[in-house]
Amino acid sequence: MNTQSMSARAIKSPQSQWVKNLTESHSWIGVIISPLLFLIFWAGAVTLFYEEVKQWDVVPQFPVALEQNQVPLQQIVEDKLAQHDFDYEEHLMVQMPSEHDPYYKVFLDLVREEGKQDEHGEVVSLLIDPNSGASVANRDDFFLGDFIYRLHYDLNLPGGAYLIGIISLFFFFALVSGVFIHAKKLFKHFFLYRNDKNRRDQLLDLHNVVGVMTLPFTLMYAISGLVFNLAIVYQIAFVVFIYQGDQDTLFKDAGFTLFDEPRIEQSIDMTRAYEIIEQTRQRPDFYLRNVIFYNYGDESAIIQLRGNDLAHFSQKDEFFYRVKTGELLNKTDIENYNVFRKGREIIATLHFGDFAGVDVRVVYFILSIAICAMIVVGNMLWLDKRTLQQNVSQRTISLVRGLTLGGCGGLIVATTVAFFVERVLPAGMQARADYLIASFILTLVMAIVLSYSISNKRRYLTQMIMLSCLVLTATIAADWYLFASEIIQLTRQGFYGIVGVEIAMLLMIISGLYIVRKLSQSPSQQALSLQPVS
Amino acid sequence: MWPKTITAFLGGLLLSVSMMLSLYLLIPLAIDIKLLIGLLAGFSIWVAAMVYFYSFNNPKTSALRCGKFLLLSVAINSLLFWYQSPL
Repeated sequence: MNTQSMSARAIKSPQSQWVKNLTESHSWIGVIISPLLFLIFWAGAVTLFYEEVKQWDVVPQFPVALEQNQVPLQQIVEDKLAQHDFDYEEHLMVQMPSEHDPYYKVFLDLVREEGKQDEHGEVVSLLIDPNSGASVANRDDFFLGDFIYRLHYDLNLPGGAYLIGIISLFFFFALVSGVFIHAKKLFKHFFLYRNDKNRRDQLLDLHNVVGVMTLPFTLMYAISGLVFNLAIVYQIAFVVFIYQGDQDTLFKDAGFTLFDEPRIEQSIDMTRAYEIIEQTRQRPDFYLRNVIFYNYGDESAIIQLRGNDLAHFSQKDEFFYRVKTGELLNKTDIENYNVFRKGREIIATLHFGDFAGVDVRVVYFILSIAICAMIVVGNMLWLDKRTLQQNVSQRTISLVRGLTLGGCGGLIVATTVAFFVERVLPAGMQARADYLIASFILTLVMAIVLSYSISNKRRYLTQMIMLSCLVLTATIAADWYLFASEIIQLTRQGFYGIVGVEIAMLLMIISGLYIVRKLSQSPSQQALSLQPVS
Repeated sequence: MWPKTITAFLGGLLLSVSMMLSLYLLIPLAIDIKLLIGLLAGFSIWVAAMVYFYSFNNPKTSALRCGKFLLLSVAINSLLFWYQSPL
């Protein structure tokens, strides 16, 4: 919401000076955080369809017929324990099949090597066919969905979550300062878009209209982003000042149950655990998402069952049972919940938009893309203004221009390339995920480097859009060339995510071609600020 | 802009932690409710303080205001910790 022009009218009054200072801060911070903010919203928009992308990625490679009898969970778990060197001091997690994802996923912490007992050991994550009980792949080999999700919340970097938290904080500041800057016109100019005015007014209106109309959504995202990524700050403050260093009590007060009973090294038959799991699965209006075993096979064994209460909004149920006695140790449901934990879950539900059907996520997606456009337009406004000013160095302008064009545009191209690479790489390939990451990073870096070396920025923008459309077309073609019969069979079985992702790609291609056409029709007006000034 | 940003970021952080702790000690509600209010209020105070500190013409005025608010808030916190047990 960059409204620098309004502050130029009366700079003498303290109020307008106040607005002017905020406007400067808003645009300065906006430009600095813009590349990462664009990445967060772009990756977040794709991640809204995480389950569908995961289904598109994995299920055609290992089709599953749902009508067959499934292997009992106990047999699956105990087979995997026999096949791997599981560290029985650690917990074991099983993710249950869902409508999007038909496989069991078993996560096993392996025994650590001698001398490395203090380090976190290797974790095997297996994708298991529920009909045969066979491990079809390592879950992490099909990394596309998780890669984009992790880009969204921690950039796939150590400490990245805190960086994203700080970006969310400055984004929150940009929103609040934008409201103050735009306050006088917030309602009067709610839907104002001056199509007949000059380019700067059009861009400003676009920035403001999108900013105002998405405000509830963006405020929710800023606050939830902070809660997920920067709550550590207040957690430390609570532990130090209120809990005198006792972090476990804080977690308990925040509703997170921890069981860390030691093993007593007396073995037990775990059949009772699987009976409890089956009973819990049969509860009405309940979907069991995952099961965590503590002290597997020991008399001290405990199971933790987590799932969704389908009858209530954002209600995540959790049950802890002692396996030996079948005693219910702790439960969280609609009648027994902790306000802090429940509040956090509601924030998460609003953040992910998974409280209703696909339609809500489509609305979230459109809003996220609109915010991506708002970020780019904000940078274009900054470039327009600074290009005319003498007090900003050409190097800074060139850097912002390159990052806006190469960074934001390159991110879209890199995502399409990642989809293509994920589809064409063989399923059993060694270090498959590494090739995916390398293809993404290489494309992004090349796009940024080229944005500095190519002088005709507008043509470069068109070329990037065309390349994205071409790669997406190739991805759809590869889909049908490699998996035509599987896609048809899976769609008949109700796995609509695969075709859904293809339709989304097709819509992206159509939108891209439309933008290219528009760019070629308006010779000098559009994308001017992305052109260097001669 | 960098000095103002440092004041706004760190000053806002310290002020929000201090005020959030005061809120925690003052609100007569269950602990889980206080934790949730503390978390959400903490971020809101942080950003409100940033908006306030950025609104000054120069970083020095901004830092001075920040210092004054911080001293006041820490004094209130000290009194609260002196007179009541945190848990």
